[in-house]
Amino acid sequence: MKNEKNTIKSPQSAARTGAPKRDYWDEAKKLWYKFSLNRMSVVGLCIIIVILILAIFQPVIAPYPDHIGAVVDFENASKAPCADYWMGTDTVGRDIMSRIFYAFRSAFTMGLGVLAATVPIGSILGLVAGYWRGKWFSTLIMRVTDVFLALPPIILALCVCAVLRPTLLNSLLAMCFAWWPWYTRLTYSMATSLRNEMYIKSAELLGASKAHILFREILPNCTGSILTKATLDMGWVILNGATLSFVGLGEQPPAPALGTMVSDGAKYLPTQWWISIFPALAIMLIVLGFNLMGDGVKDMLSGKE
Amino acid sequence: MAFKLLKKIGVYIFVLIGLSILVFLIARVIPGDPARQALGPHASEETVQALRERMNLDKPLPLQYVLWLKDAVQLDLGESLLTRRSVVADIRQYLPATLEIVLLSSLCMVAGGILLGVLSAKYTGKWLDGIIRVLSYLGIVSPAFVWGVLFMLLFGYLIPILPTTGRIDQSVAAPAAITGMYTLDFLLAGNVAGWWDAFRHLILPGIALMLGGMAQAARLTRGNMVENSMKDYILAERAYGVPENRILRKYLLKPSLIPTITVMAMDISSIFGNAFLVENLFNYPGLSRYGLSAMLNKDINAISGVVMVLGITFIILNILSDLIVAWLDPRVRLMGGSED
Amino acid sequence: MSDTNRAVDIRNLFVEYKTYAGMVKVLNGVNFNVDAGEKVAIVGETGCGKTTTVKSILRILSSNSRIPKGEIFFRGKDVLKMKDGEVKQLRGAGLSMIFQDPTMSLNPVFTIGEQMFEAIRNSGQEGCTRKDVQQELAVKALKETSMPDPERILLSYPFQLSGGMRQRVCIAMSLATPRDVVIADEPTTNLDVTIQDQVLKILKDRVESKNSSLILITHSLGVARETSDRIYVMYAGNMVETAPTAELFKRQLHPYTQALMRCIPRLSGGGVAEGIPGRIPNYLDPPKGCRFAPRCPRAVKRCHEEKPEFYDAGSGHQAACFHCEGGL
Repeated sequence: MKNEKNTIKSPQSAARTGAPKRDYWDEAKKLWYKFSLNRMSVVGLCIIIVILILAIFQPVIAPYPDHIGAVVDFENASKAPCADYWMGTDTVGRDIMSRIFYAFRSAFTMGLGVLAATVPIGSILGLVAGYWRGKWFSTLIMRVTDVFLALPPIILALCVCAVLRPTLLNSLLAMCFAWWPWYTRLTYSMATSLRNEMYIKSAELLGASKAHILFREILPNCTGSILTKATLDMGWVILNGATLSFVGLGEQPPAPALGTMVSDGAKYLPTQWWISIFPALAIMLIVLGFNLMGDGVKDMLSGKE
Repeated sequence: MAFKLLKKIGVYIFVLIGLSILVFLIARVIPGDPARQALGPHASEETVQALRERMNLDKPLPLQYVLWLKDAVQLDLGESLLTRRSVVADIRQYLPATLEIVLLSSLCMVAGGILLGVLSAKYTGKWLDGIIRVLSYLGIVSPAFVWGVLFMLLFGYLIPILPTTGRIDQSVAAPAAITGMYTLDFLLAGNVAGWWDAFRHLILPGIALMLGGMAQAARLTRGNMVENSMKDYILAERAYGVPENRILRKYLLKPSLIPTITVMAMDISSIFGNAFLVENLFNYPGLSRYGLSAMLNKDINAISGVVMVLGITFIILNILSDLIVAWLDPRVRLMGGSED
Repeated sequence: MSDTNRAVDIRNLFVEYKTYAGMVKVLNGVNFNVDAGEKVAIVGETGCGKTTTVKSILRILSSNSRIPKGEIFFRGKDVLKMKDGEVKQLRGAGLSMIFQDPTMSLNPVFTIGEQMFEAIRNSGQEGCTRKDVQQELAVKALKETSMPDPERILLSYPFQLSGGMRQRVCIAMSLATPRDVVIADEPTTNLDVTIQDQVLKILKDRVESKNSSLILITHSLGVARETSDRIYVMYAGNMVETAPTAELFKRQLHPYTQALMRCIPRLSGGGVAEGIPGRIPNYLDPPKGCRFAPRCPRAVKRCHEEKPEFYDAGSGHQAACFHCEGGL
């Protein structure tokens, strides 16, 4: 065929030439069907989509888009939820709702950023450690992972944050520092159990390259678990990010962050409860959304394996 | 099996050492000068230099680590830059308070979670199951500090029945320190009124901390029990006429608990993590609040000390959970269980 | 009411399962009976409803099952109308069941002894709540199945025994206390071929020595021939033929049974074994009339519209086929 090289690049590609073209649209439709079988997952997805829309289109949707900055309006300060301000205002008169919508941006940035970095790195480390289990570097990787896993992630993140200047980027980096080992452990246990499967052995015997075995044979079998965990983790990372901003690390005022809003408002409980409660509910809603989606993602990808 | 246990302990010791290195590195990587930071901008250069030398900051990094380790093993973790006391003394003062809360939360979490899970499994599909499942979901997705804020609002202010700060009222004198845990010390001294006061102060932060883990435990227990209830051995036991309640309490519960224990060990260690915020919120003078202020103020000795304590606690928890799993699951006990 | 000589008498049983996709109508009017002391085999393909039939006798069907019609008599009493206390007695003393996979049917975190004692404890026999009586009965039962060192076995966990030993434990458990009927659901399918014979022989011995009845489920005609006095052939939720063993192998009346016989390769004459073309029906939307009709070489128009009854062909031989109507 086209490939004139003599070495077998992949046993599968030899068989694949001449096979019918994959219908990706059809596969996508099937995946969606499996996901949607679980009603709650669809609810979760809707929640997340709504929040995303609110975040992205905040300047257009929010009633007071400029209240995210250093705006003061003492006339309207500390107003309870009413027609003008659906979620009330804080002590300097900023609309809570608009600020929450904007805070969703940093929340999602945090979640996506952390996962985009830790999922690939953590997973690859785990695959390597699992496949070459017994070799010195595998043991090294796993021992280092064990060390990182010895502490609750929030504490690791706090430590790192403590030594860096408090910004959104630094808190994001701190979270990455704390989060990667979970994926390493996940793929490690999958790789160790899969590497003894027959199809891996036969691929090895046929002379497939190690890269091929790792990425075209083992990894596809792990994607289900990885993606399910990643979906759930989006919620947890955002939650931990809120925790960091709750103690004052992370994005600094006057930019709104969900955790900061909760902690600032906690001082004014119980009389001005809205300042604290609405951001807290927003956090819960995000985590709930991703949690609900998680079940659907699991169902969607489990049939594929 | 004993050999495997020893091997595991060896791994844990390695983890502890690794943790100490990690924490040491983090603490020493602070941009800026910790000595200067501690003494403030007005201190003279000589005093700052003296402090630097005392803290070994002028020596090469590996040497610093070795010196630190040597001291640490002799239980000298240096001096806190904030409190100016030895870190060990600080830890000794604050640790029991945190332990008190964590113990209470963990017990309730485990007992409550398993109970709810069993109830949920027993009445699967009925309304009780539905309620427990919804509540568990809410419990899992809400962070501890949100619960803290909510409960503070509800039971501290709206219906002011529970105290929201501190360990005991100002009017009550602290008990003679035997264990450092006020509730226990009061009991040991026979002071019921004092015990009640101390206990009341534990309730709000304790509940805030345990809800997440309890919800998780309930969900897991329920899931495992429902899954196992469809296995052949349960069907066989039913076929032999074993009463349904007995099956539930004995033959279904034991195999279902095994996967849950490991997760609960992790949940207990995350209680420690959440305690950082909850103690702050409730102004509870525990180790986590101390640790948090250390982190916010770049008090490196205190940070290292607190993190090491947490690391050791985590390892003890892991060993305990391994032992419990081995006790419950004969396959692990006799075959050495599954590979790492 | 039913002939109390019969240990089990199932009449016109319909069972369906409620699933997301709809009602799965598994059993389509099953007629089945076992006399006291008789050994009966149910032979059929996977999915034909053999396990559902026996599970309904013990009333251990899953919670999404429905029994819209039918009666099941155990020693003359209708099982489906029994109260809790009677059901407990039914399971504790009347019947016992041996499952297909001995690995899955023994609780992995309890010792063999604990499980056997539990079974004995619920038998309602005199003294069965006493530890020493349980021990004695358990040891005796294990010895009867030729298990070496019964005391040590009682202290072991299931994973410490081999597959064959586990199944023998299950056989011992099922006959530790007297039973009227022992149900064995494909007891040797998951065992090594070399052990299968041995286990079957032990099962047969034990049942005979206790004068119990045996309901043996198998997909192998050969196993049925070795072990039973009478055979039922089952297809897609119906009993299609029944006869004493020797008679059934001499002549088969139902087209399905005939096809089954042709599936067995023979050493003497016959030639190559054939398969049966077609597939078992979809239980969500089963065919009207005879469920074998779509695959049957001898089907006529009536077969697709009416469901055949069990027609008597003399000497204990019955078949559910219109070609047998009015005897032979």
